[in-house]
Amino acid sequence: MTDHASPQPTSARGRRLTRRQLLAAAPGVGLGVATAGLLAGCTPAPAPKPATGSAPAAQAPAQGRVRDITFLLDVTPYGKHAFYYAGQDHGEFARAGFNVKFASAQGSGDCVRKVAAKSADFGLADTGATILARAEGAAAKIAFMTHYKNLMSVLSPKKNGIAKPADLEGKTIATTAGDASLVMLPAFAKINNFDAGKVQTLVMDFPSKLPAVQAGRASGSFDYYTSWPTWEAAGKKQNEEMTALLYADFGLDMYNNGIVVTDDTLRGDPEMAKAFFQALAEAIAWCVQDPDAANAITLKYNPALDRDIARRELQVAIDFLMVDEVRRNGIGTMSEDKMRQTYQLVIANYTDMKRPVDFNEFWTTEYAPRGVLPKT
Amino acid sequence: MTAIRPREVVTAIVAIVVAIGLWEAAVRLFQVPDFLVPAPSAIWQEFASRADLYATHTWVTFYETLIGFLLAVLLGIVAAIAIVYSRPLQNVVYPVILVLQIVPKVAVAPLLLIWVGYGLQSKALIALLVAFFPIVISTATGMRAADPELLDLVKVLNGSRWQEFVKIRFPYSLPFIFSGLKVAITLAVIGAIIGEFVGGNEGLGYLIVIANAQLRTAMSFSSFILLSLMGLALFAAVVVLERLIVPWGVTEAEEIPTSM
Repeated sequence: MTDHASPQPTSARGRRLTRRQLLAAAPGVGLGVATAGLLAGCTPAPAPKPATGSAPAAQAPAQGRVRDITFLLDVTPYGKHAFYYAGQDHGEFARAGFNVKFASAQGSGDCVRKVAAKSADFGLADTGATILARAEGAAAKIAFMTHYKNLMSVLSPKKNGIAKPADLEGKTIATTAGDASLVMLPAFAKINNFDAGKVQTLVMDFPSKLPAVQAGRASGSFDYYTSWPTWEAAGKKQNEEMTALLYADFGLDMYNNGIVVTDDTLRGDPEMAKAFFQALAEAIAWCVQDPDAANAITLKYNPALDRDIARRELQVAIDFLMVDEVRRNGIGTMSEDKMRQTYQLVIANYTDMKRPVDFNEFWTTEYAPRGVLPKT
Repeated sequence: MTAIRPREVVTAIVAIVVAIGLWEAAVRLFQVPDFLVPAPSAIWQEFASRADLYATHTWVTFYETLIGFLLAVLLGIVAAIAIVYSRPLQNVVYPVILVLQIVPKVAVAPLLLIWVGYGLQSKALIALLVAFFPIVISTATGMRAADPELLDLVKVLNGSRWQEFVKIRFPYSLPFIFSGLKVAITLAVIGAIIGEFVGGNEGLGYLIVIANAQLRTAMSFSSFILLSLMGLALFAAVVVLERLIVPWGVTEAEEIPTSM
């Protein structure tokens, strides 16, 4: 995080540089590992960004100064990301003293890792991925929730016959590596009495899933329901009816994506975190009130998106946000019961975690506002 | 290429051991978390705990690479002959080859996989597409570089085009072909990995994708190292083959990539 007003403490910066140099040097040590890393498109540490992450979070916000921060989206932008763009474009972030730049991660796991490595200040990531990242040493936690209702689903053309959970047996389902819906399949199978071992998977990159299914390479796709508008539109073009099997409709409800932030930021600059989350909650509330205007902002940032599909994706995000819990307590905060259920489902399914993650270490409600709701 | 001296080997090994030692010490000293950079010991532990898994996936990538490479050699040499011997064919084939080379394989790979399927064939096809170009160019260059006086001699002696090809052009182009093959084999590995990144359930690229999704950096590094070793072994195999087939041209061939 870069604060224009104050210089960066040398001790912290020095340590950071040392680590960076180490990160840059380590993969190159012996055996051409660095080459393979570049080849693979996945260097172990995120590339340092000069504009962000160079100073520690532990700085008091300077009065009257605008603070540049980076917000990392979970994946390439689409309709649901209006929640975050709106804060910047509709003025909530500016009023709280923030100037937010956006970047995209390659999935939740990547996002948590980058936030933990301080390449970004805040990130949008799945709760399960955050728990897993913590087990691997990433000191970041979920401090604000946005996907309250479980979006995990299996999307498929109706003719492939995936109408109920047990229909998945014997089918080949396209998935990205580590897709949350795939990870939770055993839990979903247990609740619904089918054999997860009889579901074949085919791992591919995210954009390939829909065309691969339409080309008959797989029967369906593990996906977040936010992809549904794209599937529906693609189906219409082919005169093909699509269907969605939502985990939440069959007994598996849990928290999905929220905002991750490092322990250091929360500890060192709690007021900054609180100010950001307050502004974010207000921006999201505005999106719920005026989704068409919010969608226009998404399109402004990403002119290549399809306006109608983006609008419907935003609607899915709104529908999965505005659950009873949010109507009671406001946008952003979380309930212990549901988080415990989420936690238990996650640890039961990630069986080979490197170290046990305690229930209280990966989430907090201390910094999210309470009672922020759209005006009715 | 000069012969490798034992002293150089010892120096290289010592350098690698020292580098690994420093890496291990640095990770421990600065307490770098595993998800950023794992210690060499952690990478070894990861590898040793599931060596059979790594062996299976390394074999898959090796196989895809080799098939793609061999097809690229075959098609590359045939295309080069066509370019050198026939003006009309050159006008047709050359632009196609250029376009194939320029189109980014990473961008086309998802489509190729949907068309061809998510198995071995698509990975070998991408390896072929990536490895093809340097072979065509180096082979064609080699065939054109044949000594004009020798080509004249064939004409004077009433030799056939076939004789000209077998006795002059082809032997002349061998060192050039091998310089292309050395570039191509490393590219073929990349091609196979591109395919595995896009989709499929096998290979080192698949392991890296899974490792990334699960934040298991030690698993990624184990895969990187195996991939590097596999690439080195394949490159070394081409070098050995070169020494066996064109012992006279090895030095020349070493100099070609810088002059191209």
